[in-house]
Amino acid sequence: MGFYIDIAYTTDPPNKVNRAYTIINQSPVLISPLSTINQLNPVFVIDYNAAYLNANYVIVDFLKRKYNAVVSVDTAGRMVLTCNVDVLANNFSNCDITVTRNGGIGKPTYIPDNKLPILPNRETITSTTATNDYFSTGLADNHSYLVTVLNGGAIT
Amino acid sequence: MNVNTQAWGSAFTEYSGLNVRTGAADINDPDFENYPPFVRNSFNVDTEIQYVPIGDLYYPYLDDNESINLNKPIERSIAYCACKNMDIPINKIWGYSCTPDSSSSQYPELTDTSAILLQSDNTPIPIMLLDTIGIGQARNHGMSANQHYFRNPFYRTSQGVFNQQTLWTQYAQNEDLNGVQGNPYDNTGRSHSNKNLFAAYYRDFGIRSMFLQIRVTYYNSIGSTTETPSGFNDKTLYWYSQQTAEWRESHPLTGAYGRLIVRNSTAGLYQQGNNVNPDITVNLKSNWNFSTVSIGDLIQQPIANVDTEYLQSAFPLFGVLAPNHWLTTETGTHASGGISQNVAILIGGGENSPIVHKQGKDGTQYKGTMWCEMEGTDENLELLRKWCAAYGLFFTDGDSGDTGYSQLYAAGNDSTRWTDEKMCLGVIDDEGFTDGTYTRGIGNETANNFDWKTVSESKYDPIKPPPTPDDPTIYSDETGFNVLGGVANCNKVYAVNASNIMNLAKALSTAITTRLSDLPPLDYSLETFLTNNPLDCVVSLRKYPVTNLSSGTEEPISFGSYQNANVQGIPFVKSYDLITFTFSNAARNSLYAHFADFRDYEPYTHAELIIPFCGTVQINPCDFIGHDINVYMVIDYITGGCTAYVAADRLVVTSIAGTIGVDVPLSGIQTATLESQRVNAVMSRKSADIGVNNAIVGGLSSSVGLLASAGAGSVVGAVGSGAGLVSSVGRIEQADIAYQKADYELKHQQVPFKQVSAGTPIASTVVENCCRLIIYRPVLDDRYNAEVYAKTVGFACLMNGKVADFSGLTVGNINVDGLAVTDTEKQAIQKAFANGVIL
Repeated sequence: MGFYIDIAYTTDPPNKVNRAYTIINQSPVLISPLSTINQLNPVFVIDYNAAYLNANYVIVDFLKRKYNAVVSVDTAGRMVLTCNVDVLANNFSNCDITVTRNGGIGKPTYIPDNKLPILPNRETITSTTATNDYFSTGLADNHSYLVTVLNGGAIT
Repeated sequence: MNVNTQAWGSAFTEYSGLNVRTGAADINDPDFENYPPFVRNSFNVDTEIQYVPIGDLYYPYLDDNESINLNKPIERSIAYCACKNMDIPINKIWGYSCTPDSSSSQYPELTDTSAILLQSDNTPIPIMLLDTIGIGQARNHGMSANQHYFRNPFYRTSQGVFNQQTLWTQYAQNEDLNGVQGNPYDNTGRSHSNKNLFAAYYRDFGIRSMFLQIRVTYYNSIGSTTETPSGFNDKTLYWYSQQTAEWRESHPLTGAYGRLIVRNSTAGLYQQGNNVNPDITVNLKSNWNFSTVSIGDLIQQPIANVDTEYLQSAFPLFGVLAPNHWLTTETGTHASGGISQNVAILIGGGENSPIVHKQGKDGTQYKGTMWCEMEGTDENLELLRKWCAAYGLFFTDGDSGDTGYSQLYAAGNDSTRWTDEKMCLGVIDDEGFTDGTYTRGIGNETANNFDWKTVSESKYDPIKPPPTPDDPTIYSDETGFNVLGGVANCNKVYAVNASNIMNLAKALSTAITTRLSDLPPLDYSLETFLTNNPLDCVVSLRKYPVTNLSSGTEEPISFGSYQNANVQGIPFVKSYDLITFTFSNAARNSLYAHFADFRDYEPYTHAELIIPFCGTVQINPCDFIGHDINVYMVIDYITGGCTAYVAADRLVVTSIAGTIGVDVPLSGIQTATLESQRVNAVMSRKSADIGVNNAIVGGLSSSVGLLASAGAGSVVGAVGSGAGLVSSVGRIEQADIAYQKADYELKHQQVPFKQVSAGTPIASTVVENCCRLIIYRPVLDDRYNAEVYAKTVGFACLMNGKVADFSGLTVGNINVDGLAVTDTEKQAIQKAFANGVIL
């Protein structure tokens, strides 16, 4: 009984959760006993196949994991897939999370964002006046003066 | 799961953000698995809820009997407002069917006539699927009896809106209404009618592309006479009121509708982002169907309107088209002049509403049973205006004639159209709500949305946090001004003008015209002393920047008991004034949330008020956003000072003092002092005069002594007496000098002038005559690209939830308990999320 893997190619960035990939092999690929198998950083040795040279992703069912892979060819002409487990290939849907940054919001929020490129040396000025003008400027000769006289109201 | 629309195959085409198959779905199609779920569902293929991308957003496609918990906003969706935190089993949100019309247009639609949105208790889902601009794009089509369409207003042919069915939603309700249909207002009196689920579709639809004309229909309910709709013209009819069970002669209003007037830019109205060519005139001509709505405290009462005449059309501007009711549109013609078509608008009803069922007195006198009636009173017509205002659109209640909407419609009126007295505008607040408030004429300019060109200028965003949390502060508190009211004082104040002042100055300088001999008899009473020095009675003379401080009749000013008929003023009885300057939040003239994010607050945005006569006061935006800024200026007419109190609504936050009264120097003679000096000088001169006389008399006496001594042969005595004569001559000279001095002093009497106040620099009076609000807002780098920023940096936030609740670049702390991975992997996962992952 041998161990098989699927060799794939993905263009999704490494920080993408559940990267989409395209499996290259026609059927699962048998790995060599020379392979180093562990859950986190396995190194798979397989027979040379030029179609796998551009592979960068490996699906390993028997480890229940997916791996980011770097393909090389050893001196014996075998292909070596040096892998790192893709920890983001998981179902996080129900995991609780406190999000401090998010692109899906679409716009800044009320949380101050010190990365937003606000220019420190520029600002816009908006000027508005109140909806009512009270103080008159047309005071040519109207009763706009007040003279206060002592006791004028008391003694007449 | 995101759906790769490209994978749907060539059978589907992008269609205004919705992917619609142009041909029949085929289960044997190799791409069948990539069909939209609702398509697969039509073949009884189990699917899961999926989201369809529209731009960078995702919209849910739900199938029969699926449910969705709206515990978070659906992007750009009004649905969240209406349905938040509700588990809503969806019988069907939309299904799929491609029913090309004659010009092969397509649209998504409900798959069957029963596909209405129901909650688990079978009450209609209070979901808002309405758009303000969702007014008629139909031509040659009506809403058939067994179809319900979702409207896609941006589908247009090269001829504009042509050959497309009008796709109307059924419901436009608010969460508080418990499934009652069609109410444009929630229980706070606010309306969502100006919002829409598919805002992204309509974002560029020009607000100034259109306005509504409210038209009413008056029916003679006894016979079959239908009065031609014509504005708000009065129609007096004889009719029976079911509500009051009496025959009445007034004007029963049985219908009202809005006529949407749309024109493109070539005709003067703003049009953006569409392919309208040429002008569109959307004639919302139809009868209308009363459904159930309420406003304010009115309670809904379903009205089953079964008269087929009414069923032919309805006005679901508020989404009030009742289930299984429909619109029948009028056949229009597409010509260079425009397209005529029917759609819908106003509605009203309710237990306490003026709209009630109408049934015949004897059941036979009426054209049909269960008619609706609304008396065309001013109050009811105002209600129609408020309903129309709920859309936040321009509207007019003008008549149909040349003086009515036609005039507003005419090309070339764009500069005056929006401020015409016949033009109204539903006011939209900062949060995008309307409450039926509207402005009219020039007042339209004060509305937030007056200058909006498109609906995208609304700051409404359903996913933004509320702008302000619950605040225990009562902003509506009375300010408490005028606690003491006017304070009495012992002075008297007159309002005078410049001419009065000249007369006053003249009188104060010439008050003394009496000669000493004319002085009145001695009078030691207080009145006399107050009379003697009129200038001393003047406390102040100030100018205030207020036109006509007092009105009334001029009367002689009393300086103590002294009055001069030429010196007059108007008695001024106030001691203070309270002036209010307002920066309206509703009119967006205040510190509104410009960005609707953190930049609206300090230290990013700061503001100041420039208050006349007081100076500049810094205000903190967080204290005032969402409130009117009121500046209460108290003018103290006693001292000339003023204090400006700055309030958020009516809650005083800060204050600043200043001087508003400009001291005017006033000079005059101190009459009593002058008189006293005159008296003293005269008395001195008289004394000196007497001294001279006495000296001369003394000299003459000495001469007589000299002659007597010489006669007696006493040389020594004569010599001695001669010395006395010399001494007498000296006294005469001294007395004469004293006299001349006293005379000189009398003739050069120093006039005792006095000046009241030293004056105030005039520069301080050259200020603006009104309060000014200056807002300094931050500027983003021109190279900022929100889309790229979202994908590469992400927007700062603080949100909690499940990972499934988020999309796009996400940075945060994740709880990995329960994941079946190693500890090393858990740490790696947490690190990856801390650095940012793409969901």
